[in-house]
Amino acid sequence: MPNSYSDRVLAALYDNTPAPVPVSNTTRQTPFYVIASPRALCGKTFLALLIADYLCQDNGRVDAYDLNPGEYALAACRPGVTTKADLATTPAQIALFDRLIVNDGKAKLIDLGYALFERFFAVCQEIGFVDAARRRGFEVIILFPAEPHPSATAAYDDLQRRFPTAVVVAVLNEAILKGNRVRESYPVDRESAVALQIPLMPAVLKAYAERLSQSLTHVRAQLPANMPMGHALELRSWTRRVFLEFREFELRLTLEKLRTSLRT
Amino acid sequence: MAKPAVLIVGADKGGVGKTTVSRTLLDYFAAHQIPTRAFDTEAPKGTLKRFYPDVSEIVDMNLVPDQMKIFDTLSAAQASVTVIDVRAGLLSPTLQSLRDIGFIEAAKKGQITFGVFHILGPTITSLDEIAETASYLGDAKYFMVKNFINNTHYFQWDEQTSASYFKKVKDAVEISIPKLNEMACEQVDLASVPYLSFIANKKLSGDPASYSFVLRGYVRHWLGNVWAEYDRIKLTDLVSARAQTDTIQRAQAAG
Repeated sequence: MPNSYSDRVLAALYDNTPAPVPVSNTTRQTPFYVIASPRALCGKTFLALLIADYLCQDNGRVDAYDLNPGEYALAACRPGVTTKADLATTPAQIALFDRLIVNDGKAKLIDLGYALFERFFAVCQEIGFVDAARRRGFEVIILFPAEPHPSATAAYDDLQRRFPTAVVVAVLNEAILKGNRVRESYPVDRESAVALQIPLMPAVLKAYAERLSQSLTHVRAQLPANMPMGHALELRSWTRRVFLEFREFELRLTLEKLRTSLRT
Repeated sequence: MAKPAVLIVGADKGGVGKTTVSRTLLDYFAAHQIPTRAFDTEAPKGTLKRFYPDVSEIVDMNLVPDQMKIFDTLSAAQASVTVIDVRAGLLSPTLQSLRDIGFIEAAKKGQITFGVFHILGPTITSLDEIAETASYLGDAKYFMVKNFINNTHYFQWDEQTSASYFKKVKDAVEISIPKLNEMACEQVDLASVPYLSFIANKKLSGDPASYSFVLRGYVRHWLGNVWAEYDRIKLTDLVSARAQTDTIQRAQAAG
């Protein structure tokens, strides 16, 4: 946040960009999801895949970016909507952020690998990305896969502190948490940021889901043929629960904006 | 009315970022709406002039007519601040000339605000420059600028040695200029615009440009850090000092 006169001058100049999208409390902002955790193997890419599929439903459009150099698992699963990206060099950063900042009405999604966690947010902070994105009509949402490990809770607190205008939401994935109760370790700093719950996907379904060539959006519309009917129905039911969780989150965001708008 | 202020930016070595510092100063004063003019001593081509064609002029500090162009017009000029970007190797001769023409004496009397931004290199020879420069300074505000332009580490300065040199200049103030992202630096150079215009995504003409969002962000962040240093040394207060106040204070001190 600009403090001194010099900071305010620079902020005003930087904001004077061509045709920014006007932001009001009542207009719908374009969602900008970042799936992030400094820890490996906490279900980031799976969550990114779920969000990508969720955003694709109802003719929705999404631009996903896979920031897992060397793996690019999301790009492999959803090649049609995913771009491989990196942050190693300034040209790579330009290729990513200069595209991300353009609000073309398409939702944005970043699957951020743990190895690039610090670098990504450091660059975001240095170039003022989150605030600039908000001014261009994006709602920046950081989905943070929760874990009991102290480094995860510390990183969550740190993100809330560093990016106060972003919505930082913990995601309680039962498959990762394995019964650990961590909700209290991830305090909520705004009403819309209530932790999301991802129900446990039975192992047999997971095996099928990983082999699916179609997205979960299509599973909702049409049961997959290469799967026993019982499993297909169960997968559809599971997907519905997860998508409902995402929908409720979006509604909480809308409600929060409406309340803010009524107060002002 | 504010008394004229002359800020000299120089070093006896090339490639230490004198023009970069001059550019940040011109942007700083523009942002603070302090009328400023600049002299670029890279005659005949000029570097500073490329970025600030409206407020800067190329001069040859070795020529008396050009010295007159700068110093004889201090009171008459609309700009209250004059920034002189002194070419490599000319800092000491320039200060010597200023002493010879009585400029340093005028600054001592409080008729002119005089500041020197001495851009230091990482080697011990820079410390020798400090000693040489200090001998000309009189009551000038002396800013020793460590410019981390090329990932420079001032490793060659052991603390004791540098402290002994720094002590030679009364009230010297140290300023650190952080490194700007190399590609951002290149692109601003290519665009040939002030840093402020680059951040605002504008060409020199004021027309909209299409500079990279990332690079604009880097420049903004960097310039913010540089200006924080200028805020710290209260640069606007220094150049806005009023001649009348000084005269009264001197009279009170005398009487």
